[in-house]
Amino acid sequence: MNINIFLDKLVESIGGSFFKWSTWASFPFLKVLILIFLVFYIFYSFLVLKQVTIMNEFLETKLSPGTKILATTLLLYSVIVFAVVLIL
Amino acid sequence: MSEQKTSFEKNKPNGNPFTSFAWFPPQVNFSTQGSKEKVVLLLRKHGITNLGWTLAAIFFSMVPFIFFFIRDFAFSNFSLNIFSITALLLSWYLLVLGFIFTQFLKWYFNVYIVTNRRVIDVDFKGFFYKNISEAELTRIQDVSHSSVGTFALIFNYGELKIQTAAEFSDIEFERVPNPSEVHKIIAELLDEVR
Repeated sequence: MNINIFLDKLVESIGGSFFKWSTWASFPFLKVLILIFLVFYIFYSFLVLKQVTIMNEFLETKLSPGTKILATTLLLYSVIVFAVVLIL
Repeated sequence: MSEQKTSFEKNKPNGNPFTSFAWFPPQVNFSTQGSKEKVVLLLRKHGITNLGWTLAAIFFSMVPFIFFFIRDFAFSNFSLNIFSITALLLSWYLLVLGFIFTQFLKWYFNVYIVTNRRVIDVDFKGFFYKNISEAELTRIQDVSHSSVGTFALIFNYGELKIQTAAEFSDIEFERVPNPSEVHKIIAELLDEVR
């Protein structure tokens, strides 16, 4: 099975002749899509950090600093991935 | 004839931060806690209830490897350059990490607190929904518990329903470990305040 031909036909049937799998698979187009996704993900990670901070203010446990470090790591990781994809 | 020991005599303080059943947990405080109020129990859903998302996370982590392994057999001429693959892999593992972290925090912050004055139910069902309800011990009218299903029987977890006076909403502890012991502890606390 030639997956590229199959995906070309599939994407064309959904999105019309404008879209082709080869267009989707081309890096600049894919890069833009991933960057848009990452912008939303960075915003989501920020909300996670905010919520974790609020919850830690309500309930203080031995692991409270750890959860905040994890949430910050998620935010930092998403920013790093954004930067790497932007540079690639 | 030997006297039956109360839960207060039997149990020892538990400081493990990952536990689902912590008896007099040290270093646990909440913002609305009174000066003479003590946290008697800190409960979470039984650890085994995390099995589903843990298995899903392991599978998601292996998806890129599975894909690269079957690529040559299943899809011929599949073309993506090295930059696309790097960008996709980084984004995929970001999603997986976010999934694991979100699921863990949903379990970790969804707590039930029993103090010497009240019970508190923190419903944390994701990052965009949380609900905190509480009931004074003096307002509690009835406590019941149930354990339904094979897993619940094997791992000894179940639901605990706390009914309060009509103007207050009921509190439900979901899938807490050892529900009969929790029931007993609340009953002993009720005896003390009444």
